[in-house]
This record gives sequence, structure tokens and C-alpha cells, in this order.
Amino acid sequence: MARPRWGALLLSLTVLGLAPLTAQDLPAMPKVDISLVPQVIQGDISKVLWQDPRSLSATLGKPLVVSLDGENFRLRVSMTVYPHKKGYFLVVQQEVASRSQGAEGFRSSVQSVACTPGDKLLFYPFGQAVPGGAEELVLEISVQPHEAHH
Amino acid sequence: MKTDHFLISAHVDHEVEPPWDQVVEQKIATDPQWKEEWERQKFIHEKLAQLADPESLEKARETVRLRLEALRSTPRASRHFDLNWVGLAAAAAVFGLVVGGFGFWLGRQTTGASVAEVHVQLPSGYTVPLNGNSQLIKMTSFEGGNR
Repeated sequence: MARPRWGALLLSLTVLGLAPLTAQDLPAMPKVDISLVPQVIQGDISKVLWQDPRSLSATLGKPLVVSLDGENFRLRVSMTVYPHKKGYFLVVQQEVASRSQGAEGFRSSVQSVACTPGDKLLFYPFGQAVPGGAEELVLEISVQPHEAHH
Repeated sequence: MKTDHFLISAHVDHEVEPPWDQVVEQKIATDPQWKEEWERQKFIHEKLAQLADPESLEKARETVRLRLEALRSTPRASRHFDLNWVGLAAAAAVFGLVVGGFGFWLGRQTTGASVAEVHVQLPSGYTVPLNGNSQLIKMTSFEGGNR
């Protein structure tokens, strides 16, 4: 009776004992800090109706996903930062599931931009409204080198 | 300890033969636990001896003895079989949990953290006009001044 239990216990301890050794051999993936400010503006970026600033960190080459739920849509924005020359290359992919007047729709897009640390990037998931027009959603993005305290 | 109790009980019944009865006597004299058990057994035997029908007691004892013998002679393979399977299943479950956990942990280590996800809830009642295609703009000082 005792033999299989002891066997499993010994095997578990061996596996757990070896686990940290495997981890120490792997180099850490570089990170970046992303300042993300989702905001609702009206006609002009200086007229902010609502905002929810976030300071996030992401691994280079790994997507950081932002989900935004509105009254009539579900938006999923995936941001992936790659190193590029002396700056970054940002790939923004979005998926929108929406409902308007009872009809449901789905749209997706991929866009990219090269930037340098601290550049201010604006992402309009539903496009820019005409000047002086209706409210619009915009994501203000800024990529910085990763700081250790994050 | 159980064997000791049986031995003491047998000694009280004068069933322990020489020279072992002397050994039991000596043990009772020197070991407080044996003495206590011996006194207990003696008390029980005395009470039983005072019963109205000593023959029925003998019959009951015989019945118990026969049942115990029957239990001893019954093969216990099936009981062992069940217990072994329970132990094996428990060991397999623990093993699976540990290996699975290790695999999951290793997967996280090698591929980096899984997709980080941030959830933002827009103000309730807020609807966005779902017009146009998405745009990604890098603000230059010129654009910044005009927006």
C-alpha cells in the first residue's frame, strides 16, 4: 500500500526540485511600458468627455489585449510592440462586434506604425469623426522602455 | 498492545500455560499498563462469572470464537485488492496533478506570460457611432497643433 504513494511523492519532489533549474537557464524577455489612455472626445482631442488612463507593461512581441465594452459594441484591441531600429514597431489589431438597430456586425483590421519612445499615437477604432461632429472613441498610446519599478 | 490485551485476558482465564504464565505475572507486577489492563480484565471476568447463566456465556464466547476463526480463515484478497487500487488511483492522481502543473508552469516559462488582457468599461449608456474604418495615427507636432 505505502509503496505507490512514496513513489509518487519522491517523483513529485524530483520534478519540483528540477523545475527551478530549467527556469534559470532561460533569458528574460525584454519588456516595454505602454501608457494607454482610452478616452471619449467630442470633435477635438482637447475636449475629453471621459478617460481611463492605464500604465501597462508588455513583453516585446507579445500582444497586449484591451477589451472595451460599450453599450452597443464589444471592442478588442490587440497591441504588439516589436523592436525596430532605435524605436518600436507597433502592430494594432482590432475586432469589433457591434449591434445597431437590431442588426449585428463584425469587423476586424490590422494597422501598424513605426515610432520612437514617447511618441504619441492615436488609435480611432471607429474612425475619426468630422470636425465638430459627434463623440468619438480614441485610444492614446505611448511606448517607453521598461522601467524596473513597474 | 492488542496482543498484550489478548494475552492478559487469556491469563485471567488461566489459559496461559507455564512457563509463560510466570512471564505474564512478572510483566503485570512491573508494568503499570499491564497491571491496569489485568485489573480491568479481572473485573470483567468476575462480573461475567456472576451472571445467572454461565452456560449461555460459554455459548456466546464459543460463538464469538467461531466467528473470529471464520473471519481469520476468510481470504482477504478482495479487500487488499480494493485498497491497492485506491492507493494506486490516489498516487496516479497526485502524479498527474504534479506533472500537469509542471507542464503548465514550464509552458508559461518558455512561451512567456500568456496574453495580457486589460478590460475597460466605457461609461454606461454611452454609444459610439459605428462609422468609418479604424485609424492609427502618429501625432507629430504639426498634427498635435491642429487637433
